Amino acid sequence: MKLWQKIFLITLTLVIIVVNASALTLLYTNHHQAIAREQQSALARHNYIDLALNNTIVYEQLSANKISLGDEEMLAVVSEVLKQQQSDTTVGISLYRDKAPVNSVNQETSATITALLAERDYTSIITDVADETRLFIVSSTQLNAQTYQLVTSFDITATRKLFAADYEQTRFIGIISAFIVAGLLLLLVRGLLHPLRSLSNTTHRIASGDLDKRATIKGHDEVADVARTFNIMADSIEKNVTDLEELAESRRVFIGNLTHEMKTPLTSILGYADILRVKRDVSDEDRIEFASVIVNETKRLQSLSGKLMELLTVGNLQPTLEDVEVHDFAADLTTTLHPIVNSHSMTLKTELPSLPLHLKIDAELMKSLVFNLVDNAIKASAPQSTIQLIFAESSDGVRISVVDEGIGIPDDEIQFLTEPFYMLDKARTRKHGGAGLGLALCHEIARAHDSELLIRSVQGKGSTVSVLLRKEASHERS
Amino acid sequence: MAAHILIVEDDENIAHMIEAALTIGGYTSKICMDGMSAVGEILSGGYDLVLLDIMLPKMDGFQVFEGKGDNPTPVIFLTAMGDVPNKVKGLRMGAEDYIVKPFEAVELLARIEVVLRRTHQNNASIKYQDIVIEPDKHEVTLRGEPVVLTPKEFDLLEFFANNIDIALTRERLLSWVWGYSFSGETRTVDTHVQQLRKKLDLYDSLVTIPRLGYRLESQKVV
Repeated sequence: MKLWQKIFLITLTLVIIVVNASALTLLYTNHHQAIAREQQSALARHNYIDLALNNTIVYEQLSANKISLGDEEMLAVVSEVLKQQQSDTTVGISLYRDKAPVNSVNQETSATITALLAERDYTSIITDVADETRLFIVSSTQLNAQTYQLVTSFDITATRKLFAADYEQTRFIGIISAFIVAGLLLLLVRGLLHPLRSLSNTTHRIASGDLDKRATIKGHDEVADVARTFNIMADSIEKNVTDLEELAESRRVFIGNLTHEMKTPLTSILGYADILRVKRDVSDEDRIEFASVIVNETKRLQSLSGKLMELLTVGNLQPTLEDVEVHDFAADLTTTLHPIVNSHSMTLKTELPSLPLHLKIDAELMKSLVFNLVDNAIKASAPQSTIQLIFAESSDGVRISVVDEGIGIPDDEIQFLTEPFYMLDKARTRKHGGAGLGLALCHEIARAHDSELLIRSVQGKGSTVSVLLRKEASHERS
Repeated sequence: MAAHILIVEDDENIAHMIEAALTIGGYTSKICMDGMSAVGEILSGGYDLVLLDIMLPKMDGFQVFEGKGDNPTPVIFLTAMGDVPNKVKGLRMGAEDYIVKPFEAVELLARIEVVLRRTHQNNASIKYQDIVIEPDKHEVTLRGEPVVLTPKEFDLLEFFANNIDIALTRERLLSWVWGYSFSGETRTVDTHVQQLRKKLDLYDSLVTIPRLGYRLESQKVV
């Protein structure tokens, strides 16, 4: 059973019970009071009749000057008094002696009265006689030196009927009001619980994958609090899922690119090898050409696997930072770089700060970074051009820059350069045996040093790629 | 009448390798390095088949396929993407075949042969020396006399006749004729080759290449 149904049913039941119970209590109290009033007035009337009988009999005794009246006289007196008192039909009066009526008695009431006469002294009872409700009062009285029983009966049907009518009306109003209350309660409960239902719907939507759905927050009640907390949770879940999806996507792209980069040389190798194997006559010229391709493509695969290993290692390992002096570091680099640059008929210029400067870097990784940048610069440049390797001290550290006068990079492609396997010009990169991993590797190395690559380029004029290395505060002072 | 084939492939080495492989199969070919010019080449006509790489710069192979419109030249996709969805996509588009890189030269030739045969309804009889093979009737005659071959022997002979002077490994023969992809049953190939030599007097032409397989020679080995 739903919460709104529970709240609705429980509240409705409670309201109906309370309302009806109060109505009925009120009704019964009123009725009891009415009956009590009837009894009081009936008793007064009864006593008055009793008194009238006594007075009249005493008066008759005095005027007849007898101690006691004879039966005939007695009957006449009683009849007279009763006739006087029985002014309206709602009142019945009868007098009994030894359980026998003295005056004429209504047939319908006689049975009831006979039962009441057993009572000794005084009694009052309400009972239904025929289609009337009557209040009987019986009392013993001494008349003419004998014990009589005076019985009066009063018609209280009206009071009874009034109660019955009131009861019916109350019941009717009760049922009508129950429906009205039910209707209002339904609207109220549904209205109050609406935010909860919408929250539940949102939860279902999110559970089924609509991660960007959010609960609507209205007001400041508990449901709004839950909705707010829920939205915070949904935000963090969505972020996590998005992050995971992005990671999975970048992995997928990486694997896809890697597969492509591996399959391209493999296709040439397998194809040419198969031709060499199955062809009946291969000319010397063809054999050398095919075998050369196989060798070169195998070298490409070798370089790819090497770069890949390096990339994975840098990405996973903590760099071993050591104290390196810039001039020593630069000298070490240029010894290796000069012959390479010169072999492409280019010039390498190095700029260094005037004073010794200490850096805390992983020298091997940083060398690899500079090698890759210079390698890229060579690939981008024409013969006779100059490549600059600049170590410049600034307020926040040392910036190592490699500046070339090469073909440059289109602005909208710079952001993709550090992605693995991204190549500006596939054919050109492949011709140089590259696989698009160089800058990705540099990026990883820079990141391992809490830095990043800064690439600036003007197409046709050349590019500058630099990395900023923060100075070690302690070494600066020493 | 040698078929003329368009090679659409952006990697120079692969393109030339395919060219060399096609030469062995007796086909002539032209290389096209990007999608744009490939569409133009296809539409200009004159090609019996297009070998289309999918990963091309600027315009990929699927786009080239769409770009050619309802030009009826059959297309075989060549791609490093061996995943099923791409394969299904390529074949759904109406490509005749889908070859995943890397591939062997002989495999490429065999697939090309099948596609050309299918699209040209090329059921012309194959003549090899004094043997005539009728692919549609599944009949072989030697010097005009019919020779009874089992279906596998017939397929094997047909494959040899289509790949004259090319060394065929037992594994390739097994996978092509028997459809096996494992190499455990190479004895079967040997037995069938023996039968072919005996029934068609091919002792001097269907030669064994040590450590490799068999080759049907265009000239009898003296």
